[in-house]
Amino acid sequence: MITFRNVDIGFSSTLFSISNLDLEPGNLFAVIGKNGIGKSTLFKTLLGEKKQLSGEILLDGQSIMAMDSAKLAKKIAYVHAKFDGVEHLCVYDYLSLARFPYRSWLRTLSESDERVIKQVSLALNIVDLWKTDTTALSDGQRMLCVIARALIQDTPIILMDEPLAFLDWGNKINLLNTISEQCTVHHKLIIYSTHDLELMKNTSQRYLMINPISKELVEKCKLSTETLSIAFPDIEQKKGHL
Amino acid sequence: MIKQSYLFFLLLIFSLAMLSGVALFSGDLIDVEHLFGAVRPQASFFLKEFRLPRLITAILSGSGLALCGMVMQTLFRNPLAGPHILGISAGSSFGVLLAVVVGGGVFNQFGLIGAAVIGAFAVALFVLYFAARIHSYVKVLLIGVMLSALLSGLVTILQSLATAEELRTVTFWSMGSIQFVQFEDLCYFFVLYPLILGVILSHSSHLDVLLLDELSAKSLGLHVKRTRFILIACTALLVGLITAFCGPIAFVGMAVPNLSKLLFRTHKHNVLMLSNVLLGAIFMLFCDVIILQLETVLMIPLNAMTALVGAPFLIFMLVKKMVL
Repeated sequence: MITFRNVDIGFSSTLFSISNLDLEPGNLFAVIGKNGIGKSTLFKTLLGEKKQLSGEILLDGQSIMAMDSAKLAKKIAYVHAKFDGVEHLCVYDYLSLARFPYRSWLRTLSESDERVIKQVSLALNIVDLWKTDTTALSDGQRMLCVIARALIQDTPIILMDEPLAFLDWGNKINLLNTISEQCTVHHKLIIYSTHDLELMKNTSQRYLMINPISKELVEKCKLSTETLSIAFPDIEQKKGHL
Repeated sequence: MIKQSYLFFLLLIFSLAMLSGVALFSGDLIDVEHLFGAVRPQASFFLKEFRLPRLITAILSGSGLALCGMVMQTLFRNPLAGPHILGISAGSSFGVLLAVVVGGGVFNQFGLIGAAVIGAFAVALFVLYFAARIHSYVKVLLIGVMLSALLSGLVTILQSLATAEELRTVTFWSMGSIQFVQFEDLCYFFVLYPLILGVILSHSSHLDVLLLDELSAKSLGLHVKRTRFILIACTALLVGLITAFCGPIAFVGMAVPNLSKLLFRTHKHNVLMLSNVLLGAIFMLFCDVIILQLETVLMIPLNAMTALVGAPFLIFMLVKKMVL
């Protein structure tokens, strides 16, 4: 569980603040807000890469900033959509990177590591891609592999920076179903940022909306036209289209 | 794939052994009948004092430079990176020249190695400083190229200040040469090489993770800055050491890692390390054997040879994308 207590997030100046928020496992949260409002900064803060300006962020009761990065890697997995693949790196080797936090001295992959990789690959249907070069994948396949890597890291919490960005409409829906299934079946907490609002209406997820005027992040259970017009004030005149 | 790799490694080891044999015994050194009978005393002296150090130097410098190139290509996310292109070799040349020309005869062998290592280290740190702040790796590479050019300019100025005697040694050294390294010099290699090799080998899974973007690497629990520093320090030390003895050897550090990736079609660094060590040694030895064969007719500098042998081969591989 992630707990926010009067947190200000930003670099030199506050981008937005979170007064009181508990994110519990088993939930899928979509972070919604304008470009540049600080969605990626939120992820950086949660990964302990960037300290919050004030307040407390607790992970199961412990301050994230005080946690050792090796320990944090077993709690929070992070993926972002901009992985273009690495030449000569095949999918299996890419997936096995996720076991880095569990490595032992000079040993590459243990049997349990291999088991987890196989399990997740079967669940996401990517076993056939194991030997494919990561640069030769289509955007949809690559994103599936990226998600698989996060799952293989086997953490209770997963952060995803715009996982839907480069996918076609069908793949977006498939991916959303996959991750919401992970939340409910495996009781994970998944937080992802997205701009694909029209896809959200039918999934059972919750929203973290960043209000650009009051500069606050608030939790919403439903995405109504009103909330959207608050999050994206620039589209006021086109309200009818949503 | 795995079995093929093993087979390939065996093949590489075999060819390394073959080449070593040729490098040791070819030429007018020994007649074949003497090889199995009593070796003439002067031949055995020649073997021990000249051929053996030369062989060991070729193997160590070739494998060392290839390994450094591999580390840098991963650190800078660019297949063009290498000790030569990033200016690290130039830094170490500059260090040596400064010690020779300005220091006169004050510096002994140890001092020259020190100068080369410090020069390499300074440039490596400088490039790394930018790499940590500039997020475009192309820009970092460009900075490396500029540094290299700048230092080469300074090296030329220093050369013009050198006396004729100094100039002759320095010029010969700057073309790359492994034939003048002696056993006493090699002891530096014997101490440092296993140490550096050990550190780089133990970081193979760290290097794998560094293939990802920085935040993803951090989210896997990797201390990115610390790992980068350790690896850069290792490469600077190794390149400095090699450059101090053999001169700034071009091409090997950039070509061999690419060749390894093309041949083994993998980016797992534990496989790549082994293949770079072997291929680097083979490549250098092969060049040296050709130089050795032609020595009586024509003295070809090592730097010319590495490019002559390597460039056509690499182009061929890139165009053909040979399947293992």
